[in-house]
Amino acid sequence: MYKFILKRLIMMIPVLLGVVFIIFSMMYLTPGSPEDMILGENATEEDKQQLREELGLDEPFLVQFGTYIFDIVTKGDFGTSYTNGRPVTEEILQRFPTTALLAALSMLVALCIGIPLGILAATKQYSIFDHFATTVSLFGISVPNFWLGMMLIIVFSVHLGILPPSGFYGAEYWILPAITVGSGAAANIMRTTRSTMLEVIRQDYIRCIRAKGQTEGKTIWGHALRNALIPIITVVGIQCGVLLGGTVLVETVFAIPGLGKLMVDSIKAKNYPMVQGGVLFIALVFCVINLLVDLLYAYIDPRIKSQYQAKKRPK
Amino acid sequence: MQIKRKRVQAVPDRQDDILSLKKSSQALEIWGRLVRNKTAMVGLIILVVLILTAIFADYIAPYGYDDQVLDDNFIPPCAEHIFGTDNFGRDIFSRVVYGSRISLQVGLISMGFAVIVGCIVGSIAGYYSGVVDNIIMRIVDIMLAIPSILLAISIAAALGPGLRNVMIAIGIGSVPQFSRIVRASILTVKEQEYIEASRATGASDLRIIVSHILPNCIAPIIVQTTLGVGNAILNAAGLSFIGLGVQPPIPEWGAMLSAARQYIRDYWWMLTFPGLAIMLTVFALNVLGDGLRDALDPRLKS
Repeated sequence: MYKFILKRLIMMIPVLLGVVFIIFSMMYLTPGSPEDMILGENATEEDKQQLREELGLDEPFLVQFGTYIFDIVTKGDFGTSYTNGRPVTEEILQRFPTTALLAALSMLVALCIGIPLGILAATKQYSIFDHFATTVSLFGISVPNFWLGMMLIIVFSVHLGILPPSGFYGAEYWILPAITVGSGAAANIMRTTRSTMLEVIRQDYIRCIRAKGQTEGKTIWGHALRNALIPIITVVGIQCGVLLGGTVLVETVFAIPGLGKLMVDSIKAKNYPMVQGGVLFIALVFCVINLLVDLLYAYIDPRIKSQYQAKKRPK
Repeated sequence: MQIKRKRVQAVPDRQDDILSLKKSSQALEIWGRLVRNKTAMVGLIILVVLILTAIFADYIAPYGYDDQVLDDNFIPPCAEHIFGTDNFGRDIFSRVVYGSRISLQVGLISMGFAVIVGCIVGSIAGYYSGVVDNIIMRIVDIMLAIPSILLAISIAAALGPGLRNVMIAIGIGSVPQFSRIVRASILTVKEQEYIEASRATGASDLRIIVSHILPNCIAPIIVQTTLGVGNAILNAAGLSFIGLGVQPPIPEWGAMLSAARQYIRDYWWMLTFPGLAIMLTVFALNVLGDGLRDALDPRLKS
C-alpha cells in the first residue's frame, strides 16, 4: 500500500511540472511587460533595464523557467508579487485557509443534501418526490453559482436581513457562501447517488438481505449505500476541483478574503506571479485530493485494495 | 450489352436504397425515443425558442441593446419595460434578447473548436496507441489537473478580454475532456472486424478513422457537445463576471450581472433576469443532453 502511495506521489511530479510549464508559458506569452506594471509607464529605459536584470526577465525563456522551478523545489518560492513586493508563497498561505474552509463547508453542504436526497429519490423511484428532486438537481447544475449567491444576498440579506451579505468572520457569514458554492456539487452528487443506488438496490444480494428480514433502513444505509459509494466518491473528487474553481467567483461576490479573490484581484492588476502561483497551488491541492480519492477507494472496496497490493508482489 | 449495363447499375442503386432506409429508420427510432422523453422535449422546445430569439432579435427586442435614456434609469418591471431598465436607462428585456446571440455564439463556436481539436487529438491517440497515445494522454492529464474554470481564467488572463478570446479560452479548456471521450470510444471500436476488413481492402488510416470509426463513436460526442455548450455558456458568464470576458456595452448575460452587482441592494431586476436567462438556457441544454444520451444508447438508461 505504501509503495502504491509512493508510486502515485512520484507520478504526480511530471503532471505538476507540466502544469507549471503550461501556466508559466501562458504568462510568459502575455502581452504587456512586468516592468511597466511595476514602475509605471513613465519610468526611464535605464530603470526598466535594471529591473529586468534584477527579476531575471532578460534571460531566455528556458533559463527563466528553470530558475522558477528551482526556486519552487528548493525554497518553496513562487516568486514575488508585483503589487506589494511580498513573496507569493506567503500571500497564498495566508489566504488559503479561508478558501479551504469555504470549500470544506461547501462540500459538507453538498454531501448532507446530495446523498440523502439521492438515496430517497432512488428508493422512491418515479414518485412525486423523485421527480421533484430530479428537477431541482437539474436546476442545481444549471444555475451559475455567482448569480445564485447574489440572489441569496437579495433574499436573505437585503429583504429578510437575517444573514450578512459579505465578509467571512464567523458562522453566520459562512452560511450563504457555503450554500452558493455547494449547490452545484450537491446536485451532481444527488444525480450520481440516485443512478448508482438504482443499480445497486436491484441486485440479488439486496433482495437476499431483505428476505432475511433486515430492516429497510439498515438494508439501504448499511448494505446498498456502501456498495454504491465508489461512483459517488469519484464524483465527490471531481466536484472538489469544481468547488475550488467555483470559490474564485463566489469569493468575489461575497467579498471573502480568500485565494480566489486574491487571484481575481491579481488578474485585474496584471500581477502575473500571483496568478501563476495561485493556479499552481490549486492544481497541487487538486492532485492531492485525487490521490486521497484513490486511497479512499481502497478503504471502501477491499477488491480495489487487493489490486493495489497485488502490484506490490513480484511477478 | 444494353441489358447488362442496366443490371450492373441496378444493384448498387438498390443497395443505396436499403442503406438509406436503414439509416433513416435508425434516426427515426432515436428521434422516437427522444420524443417520448418529456423533459428532453421541454429542453428542446426552450432551445428552439432561444435560437429563434437569437435569429429574430431585431424584431423581438422593443429597443436597441444600447439605447440609453438616462431619465428612464432604474425603472422596475412594467408594461413598457417588462424586465425594467438599468442604470443607463437601457431596456433589460432587449439586452437579454440580444444577449442570447452572444451566449449561443460563445457556446457553439467554442464547443465547435473543442470538438474538432478533441476529435483529431483523441483519434490520433486512440488509433495509433503506443508512444503517441502516451504522450497525448499525459498532456491531457496535465490539463485536467487544473480545474476547467481556472484553466479558462488563466488563458483569458493571458489573452486579454474580448469575445473572441473568451471563445478561445473556453474552447481550449474543453479540449482535454473531448480528447478523452473520443479516445475511449475509438478504443472500443477500432478492434472490430469491420475495421479490419476495411484495412484489408487497402483503406488509408485517415479514411478508416473518418469514414468508419468516427461515425460509430458519434453518440458520446453528440451528448458531450450538448452538455459542453451549456458549460461553455456558464463559464463564459463567469469570465465576463470577473471582467475577463465580453466587454460593455455588448449585452452578454454574465457581463450584465457583473454591471448589476453594485446595484444589488435596490434594483433586484437588474440581476434577476440575465441570471434566469443563463439558467434556463443551460437547463435546456442539460435536459436535452441527458435525453439524447438515453435516446442514443437505451442500454444506459436504468
